[in-house]
Amino acid sequence: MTLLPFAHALVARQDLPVPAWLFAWGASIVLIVSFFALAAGWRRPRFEQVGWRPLGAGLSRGLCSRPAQILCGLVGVFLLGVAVYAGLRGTEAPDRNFALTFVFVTVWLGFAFFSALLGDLFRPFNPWRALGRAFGAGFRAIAGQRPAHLAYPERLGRWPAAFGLLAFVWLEVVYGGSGGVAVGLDPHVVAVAALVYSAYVLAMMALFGVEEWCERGEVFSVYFGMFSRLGCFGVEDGRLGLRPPLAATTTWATLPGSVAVVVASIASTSFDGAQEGAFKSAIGSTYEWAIDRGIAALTAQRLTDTLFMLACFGGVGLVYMLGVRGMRTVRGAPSFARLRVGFAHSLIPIALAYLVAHYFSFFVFQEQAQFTYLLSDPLGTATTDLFGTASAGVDYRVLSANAIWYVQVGALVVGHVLGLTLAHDRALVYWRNYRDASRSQYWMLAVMVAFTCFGLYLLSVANG
Amino acid sequence: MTLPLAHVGHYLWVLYLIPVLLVIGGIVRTMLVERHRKDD
Repeated sequence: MTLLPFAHALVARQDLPVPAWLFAWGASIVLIVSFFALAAGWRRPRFEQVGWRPLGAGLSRGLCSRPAQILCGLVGVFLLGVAVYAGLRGTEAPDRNFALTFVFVTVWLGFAFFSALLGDLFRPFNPWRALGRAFGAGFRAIAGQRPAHLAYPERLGRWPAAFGLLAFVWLEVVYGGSGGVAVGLDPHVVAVAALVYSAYVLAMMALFGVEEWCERGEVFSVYFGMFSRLGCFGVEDGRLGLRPPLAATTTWATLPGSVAVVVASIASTSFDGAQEGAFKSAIGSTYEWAIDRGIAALTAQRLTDTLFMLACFGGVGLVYMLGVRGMRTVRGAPSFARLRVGFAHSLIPIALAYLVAHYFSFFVFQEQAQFTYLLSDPLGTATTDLFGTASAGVDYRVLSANAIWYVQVGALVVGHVLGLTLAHDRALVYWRNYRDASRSQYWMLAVMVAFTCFGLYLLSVANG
Repeated sequence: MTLPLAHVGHYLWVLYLIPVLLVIGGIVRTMLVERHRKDD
């Protein structure tokens, strides 16, 4: 059996026909050509009016019905229970325990990828939403009235989700990645973290209401919900429908803290990619500096990684803010605050592109483990073989190193071209004159080229 | 004579920075040209 090291190792050195840096030049040229094509041929906003049309009534009734919702909720709660149980009772080996792969790969990456294609899949399977709704229904049955909730502070917006997202990634790549181990997170820690998070979410739902907290504070709902706006499937008033791709992103960033969520998403992926590559020597120097000051090795490692992760967050935010600042100089520009919020949705395709570029191969390899030996032997103790696949392994030959590289480059280029398109479309709303709108987008072009080149640089260093 | 290329790998990041600087340079140049045209 092939054992898969639970590491974010991307791919081995490839044998590319041209140097990796030339791809950054090629991608930049694609963006510049797209920019001029948009300026020449896209002269009125097309994404602002979301043309939603319902799908067949039978399909809607089936998928959005109460029994279907209850069933999906039960599946979500059951899987959360399995992950917690495996974490508490299973082996300490991260690569053999169901909990780690399930939480950090199948859920974290799987829902992000598939939500972008198929809509908000996490919502029906969200175990905390299902539990919150069940508790609410129980309360109504006993007390005869709906539970009273506090008014959610408007200014808080999606900030709890942004901090939660950083905390989740911190747990995986800083807390679990320290001490020289790629992901040394103990499955027991994952289980305890899941229990603590469950208690926190249920308490917040009791305070502010289930749907209110899912829309603003629940990390996974906000994160996967953000990606689901890219796709063409959506639910309105309990009915399943179709909408133009990308159109639903235009209304996503209206809540405070949304910019922080999408910036945190890009920054956390960047940090994970840069930790063992581009930032390695800088992290090493800072770590040595901390050690020289008498800080214990593990604490010094975690402290250094945390600082660099926050620096990534600040750096990505700064590049975006510079782009917004640049747009502000164009004649007829709205306020800085309006521009900052108004263009945040153009970063969503980039967040997804970074996620695909960094984790696509990891996801493909690790899911083979998830659906074979981890499913048959969730505790990893070699005592069960539920589906007869406990002795299966991972086939690394399903993806060649070059294929992975081309998917990474393709994801980055497509993601940034889509981001540029969304930004151009929004500029046409803010600047009635399309020439001014195009001029304002020079700045977003610079932002997109910067993110593309940075992304490719991170991958080239990680792959080298 | 051998060229001092032993550490060239450390500076490959410059090649990723150049397209970004070219685009920013282009933006600044366009802005300056427009400002001059307006002043005239």
